[in-house]
Amino acid sequence: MKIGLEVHVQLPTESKMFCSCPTTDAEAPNTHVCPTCLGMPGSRPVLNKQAVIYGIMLAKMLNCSIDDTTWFSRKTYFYPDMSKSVQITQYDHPIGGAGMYYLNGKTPIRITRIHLEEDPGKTKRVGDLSSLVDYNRSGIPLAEIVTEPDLKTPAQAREFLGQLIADIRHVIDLPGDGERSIRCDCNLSVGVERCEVKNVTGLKNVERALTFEMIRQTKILKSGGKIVRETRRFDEERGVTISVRKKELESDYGYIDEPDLGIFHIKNMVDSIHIKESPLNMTLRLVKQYGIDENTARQLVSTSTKIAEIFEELAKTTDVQTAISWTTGMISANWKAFEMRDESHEHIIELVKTFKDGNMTDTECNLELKSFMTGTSVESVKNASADLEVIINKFLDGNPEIVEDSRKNDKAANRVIGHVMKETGGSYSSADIVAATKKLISARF
Amino acid sequence: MDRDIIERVARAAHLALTEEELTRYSKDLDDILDYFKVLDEAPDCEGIGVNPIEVADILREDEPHMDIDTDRLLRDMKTYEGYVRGPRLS
Ligand SMILES: [Zn+2]
Repeated sequence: MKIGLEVHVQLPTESKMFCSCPTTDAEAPNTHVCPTCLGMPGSRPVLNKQAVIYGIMLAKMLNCSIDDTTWFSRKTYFYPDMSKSVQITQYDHPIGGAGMYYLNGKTPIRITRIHLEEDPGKTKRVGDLSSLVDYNRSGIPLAEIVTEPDLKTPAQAREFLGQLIADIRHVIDLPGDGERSIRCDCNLSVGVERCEVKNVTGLKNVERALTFEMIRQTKILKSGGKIVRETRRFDEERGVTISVRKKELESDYGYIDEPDLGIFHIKNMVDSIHIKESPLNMTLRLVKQYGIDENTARQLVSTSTKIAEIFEELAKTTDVQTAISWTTGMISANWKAFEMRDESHEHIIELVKTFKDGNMTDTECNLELKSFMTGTSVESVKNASADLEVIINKFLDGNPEIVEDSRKNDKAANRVIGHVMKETGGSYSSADIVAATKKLISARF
Repeated sequence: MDRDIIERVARAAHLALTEEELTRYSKDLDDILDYFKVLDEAPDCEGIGVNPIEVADILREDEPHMDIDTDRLLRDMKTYEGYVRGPRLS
C-alpha cells in the first residue's frame, strides 16, 4: 500500500497573499474583500513578502532544495469560490523542490515539493442546491506540501501529519488552533491506480478516510474489479469516502505563467532566514548531547521547548541528573502557572543552583520554586502542601496495602491520587498530588 | 478539431454544449489555433521569465488595510445576507 499526502497550511500572515485585505476572522461574509481577491477585471495582484518568508522557512524545515528563481502560475479553476476562474499557484518553479523529512527522526519520507498558492473562498450550499459564496478566505496564503507515496499505513500517515503539524507550528508560530487551518488531500493505492480523497481536516479524519479507502479498494480488487482513478470526498459523519468526479488530468488544468506577478529572486532572503530548531530535532539532539532517555527528552520538549532550554542551562551550570529531576518534576508541574506570569526564568535557574551548591534543602527549594512560579507567598504554599500531606497520610493510614503494592507496581499510587482529586475537588494540580504521594509512600518503605 | 478534444475542453470549463454547438466550435477553434501558428516562426526566447518585459521582485510588506468600501463592491452583484449568489450545484 502506498500513501502520499498533500498538506495545505494557512500561513499566519496579517494580510492576504496578493492584496492587503486582513486575514483575521470577519464578523460578516464578504467584508474582508477587495477587487483583487474578488477577481474583478483590471485588478492586479502584488505578492506579500511575509508569505514568501514563511514559504522559505517551511522549505528549509523540510530540507528542500531552494532555487534563486521562483514564480507563479495560473491554474484553471472553474468553481464559484474562486471568482477569476483561475487560482494563482506555483507549477514549474515552486519555492522548494525535492526534500526529506524524517518520521520519528528515523523513517525517511521524501518531500516532492512545497509551493505557495491562494486559498479559495467558502461555498455554502442552500436548500434549493444553489450556492452562496463568502470570499473572506479567498486569497489567504497557503503553503502546499506534497509528499512522495512513502507512507505505508493510515496510522503512519496520521503520525506523520501530527509530527509535521507540531514542527510547522513551532517553526512559523502557527496559532494554537493550527490544526483547524490545515487541510489534507490523501492519495492511496493498494494496487496500481490511486484515488485521491480531497480536503480532509484533522488528524483523526485523515486516518479514518485512509482506512476506509484501503478497505474499499482492497474489496474491489479481491472481487476482480478495477480501481478507477478519481477524486473522492470524506463524509465525516458517516466515515465513508464518496466519489465526486473523475480525476482531472494535469493537462486539464491548463497551467500558464502568471504575468502580473513576474519572477522573484530569493537567494538573499534564503541566506538571511534561519529557522528555529524543530521539536523533533531538539528531542533527538538532547538525547545525543546529554545522553538522556528519549522519552524524557520528548516529555520535556512536548511540555514546552522553553523547559527544554531551561534543562540545557541547568545541565551546563549544575549537572544532567539535577537538571532532569527538577525540570521534569517541580518545574514542569508549575509550568502552566508560570507561563501566565510575565517573568524571566533566571530566578528558576538560580534557585536550583543554590540547592545544588548546598545552600538550600530539597524541601526549601521546592517551596521557593512553587512560590515563585505560581506567584503565591512561600507561607501559603507551605500551608497548602501541609494540608495536602495530611489528606494523603490519612488515606495511606487507612489503606496500608497501597504502600506494599507500590513496591511492585507504580500504578498502585493511582488510587491515592484518585481519592485526593475527588476529596479536594481540583484545588491541587495532579502534578502536585503525584509528587506528594510518591514522596509520602517512599517515606513509609 | 477533434470532437473528443472539444468535449474534454468543454467539460474542463464546466460548459454543457449541444451537438450543434460542438460542431460549430470545432471549426471555430480550428480557425483560432491557425492564427497562433505564426508563433511557430518566432525566434526562440533566451533565458527564463514570464513576461516579454521583465517584471521582477515586486513585493509588498505584510500590512493589512482596506481601501474600498465593500458595500460598493457588492452593490452590483446578486447577494443574499452578505453572501454572493453562486450557480446551482449538482
Ligand atoms: Zn483583497
